[in-house]
Amino acid sequence: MGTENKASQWEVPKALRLPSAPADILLKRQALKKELYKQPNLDSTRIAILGGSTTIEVMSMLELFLLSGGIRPTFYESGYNRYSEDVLFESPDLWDFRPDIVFIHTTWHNVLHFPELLESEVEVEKRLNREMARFESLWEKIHKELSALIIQNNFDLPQLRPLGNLEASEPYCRINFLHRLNTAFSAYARNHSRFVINDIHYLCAQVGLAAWHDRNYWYSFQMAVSPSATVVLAQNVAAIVKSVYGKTKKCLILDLDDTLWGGVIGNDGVENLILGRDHPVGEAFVDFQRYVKNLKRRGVILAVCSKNDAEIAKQGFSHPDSVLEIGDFSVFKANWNPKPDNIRAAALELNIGLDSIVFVDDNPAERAFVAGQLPEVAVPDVGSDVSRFAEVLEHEHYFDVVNVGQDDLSRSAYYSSNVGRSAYQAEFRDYGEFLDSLEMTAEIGPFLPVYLERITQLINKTNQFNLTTRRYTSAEVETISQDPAFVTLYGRLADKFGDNGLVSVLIGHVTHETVELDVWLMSCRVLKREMELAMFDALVEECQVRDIRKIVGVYIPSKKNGMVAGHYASLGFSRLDGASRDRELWEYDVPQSYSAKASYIRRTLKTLPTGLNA
Amino acid sequence: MTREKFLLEIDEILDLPAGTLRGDEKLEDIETWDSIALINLVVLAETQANASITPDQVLTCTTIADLLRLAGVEHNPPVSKE
Repeated sequence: MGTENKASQWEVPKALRLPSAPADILLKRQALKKELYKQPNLDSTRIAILGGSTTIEVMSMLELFLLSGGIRPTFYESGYNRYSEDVLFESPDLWDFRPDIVFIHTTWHNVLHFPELLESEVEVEKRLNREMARFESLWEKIHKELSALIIQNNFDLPQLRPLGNLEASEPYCRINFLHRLNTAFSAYARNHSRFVINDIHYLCAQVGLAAWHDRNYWYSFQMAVSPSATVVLAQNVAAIVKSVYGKTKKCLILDLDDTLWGGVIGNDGVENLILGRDHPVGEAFVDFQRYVKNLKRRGVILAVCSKNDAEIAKQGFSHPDSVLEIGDFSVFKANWNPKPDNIRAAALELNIGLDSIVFVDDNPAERAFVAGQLPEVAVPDVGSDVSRFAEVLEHEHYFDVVNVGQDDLSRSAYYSSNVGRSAYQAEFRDYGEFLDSLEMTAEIGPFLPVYLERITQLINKTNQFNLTTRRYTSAEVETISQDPAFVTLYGRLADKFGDNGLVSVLIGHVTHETVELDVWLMSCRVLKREMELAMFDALVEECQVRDIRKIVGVYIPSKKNGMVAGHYASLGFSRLDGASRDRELWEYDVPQSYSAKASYIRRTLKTLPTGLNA
Repeated sequence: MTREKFLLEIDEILDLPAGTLRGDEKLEDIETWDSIALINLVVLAETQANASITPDQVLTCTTIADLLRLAGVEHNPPVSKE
């Protein structure tokens, strides 16, 4: 491997380190990934991301941080907010994917059983159990049937707290409820192997709630975590995955002067070192030493690599305020050799790879030298301010551990649980019963002026469930809505958990007794809810009223609308011969008597949210 | 940020060779245009263009020129769509 190659390999991870701004990482991701994919000997893993909100950004960032840790991921991504259905109803795609790891990306927005205001403690307790049972049923099923390791978000906090500080203490308040749920999640994690919490309760505090959740991204993309906070989240998840794969660093090698104490011991003498509570910087050195001591207590190997005379250097640990003792270090290299040589020698003595070493030195020239000579060694840019050293080390998650070993990942590992079957799982016998429980109501009708803006927006942004991907300006949509030669339908869908809003649009133009469908689209957030059937029912009714005998469906395949390739066939249309492959035509004869296809959606009269309806 | 610099940033987001985009392209015609790119463009607009831009506004853009205009770096007048 040439020197040039070594340098570029070092540069890429560097771009992911502090003080890189999250926005820079987001914007440079393509180039970074390309570089990272060039690394030799990548491990591979299969990760299913089950999302309670949009996960595409999470997936993209996770890929980046896993690559930087030497792991090449293959992903499965659940449909929008289908984290629960995918598992409970055994989505064949998920089962076929055979994940090593299932990451459940839920946030407080996904809590279904928040208490009502002033509810009694007994009632709140019931809700808590119900919510826990819901999640436990997912976890058990994943463990039993997929044998996958689970990474589960705990809950972040909402920005708004209507009852102010009372939210912290009253059981019927959301914040108190979330704290209790988090405690219950933690207890589950302690009692179950192969289950790890991704602590977003900490992360949202770390980045601040205002930066964690951005209403703009929530309302426009249903992203529960803002893009910049997603960087932090993905890094945290990647750290868990890396430690599962044994990629955690084993050894911390430290410089001495101005790294573990202030001053140069060879010049100043041990009595003049800056170390101790009576000096502001001395106190910071004590705290860093304590941090390092705790790393050692949990199993991180410590070593010294310092340009010093060994005997003098050792005296530093006899300083009365030194937390570290000479015996804490497994290897002590204080001499005048180049540091890369010392580090190589230390690795040999400890019988560990260079890639399991982290080197901390306040001197940027030494850092650059080591990083350039030994690209496998992690050399964080700790700066020269000791009060930030620990923070930088933590940011890189070098020493994160989870309580699972390599064995835990093995597919043959058996699983047993003493947790009873949950009420939630037994609640539904099949998918139909689940749909029934959603108590869905749809409002479907011809375009109304109040909805034109939303309709235009959907027409111009929907790519997947979109039969023709035709785009229209708002002026065109308005004209169509007033033209009797067109059939127009919009659909809103609500369920017991809330209103999904206007989610489906259909436009057809009428010639004689035939309507040809120019636009049929639906938002992916209501996939597999039978909403497309309800729209079709409404279309057929409209045709019957207007004496339209024939419906012609148009399918224009695009790179993104493969999911609706079988749409017309599934509704009973017959394919018309002769049409081109770029533009399929399908035909349906409107029957005299028709029985509705949607069986779980109740249709309601339009109820305008603005109160404009008569 | 200049128009040229902004175009280069978009090239990078869309994984295109630097200098590919000229400004008159339709977003839909760009091979690498996807939801990640869209989110990234909002991030770019927010952080680099110093403009207060919401995802909603970016969603209404159909061409690169619309984006440039939104970011305040496009000086050519909009082409009539009528």
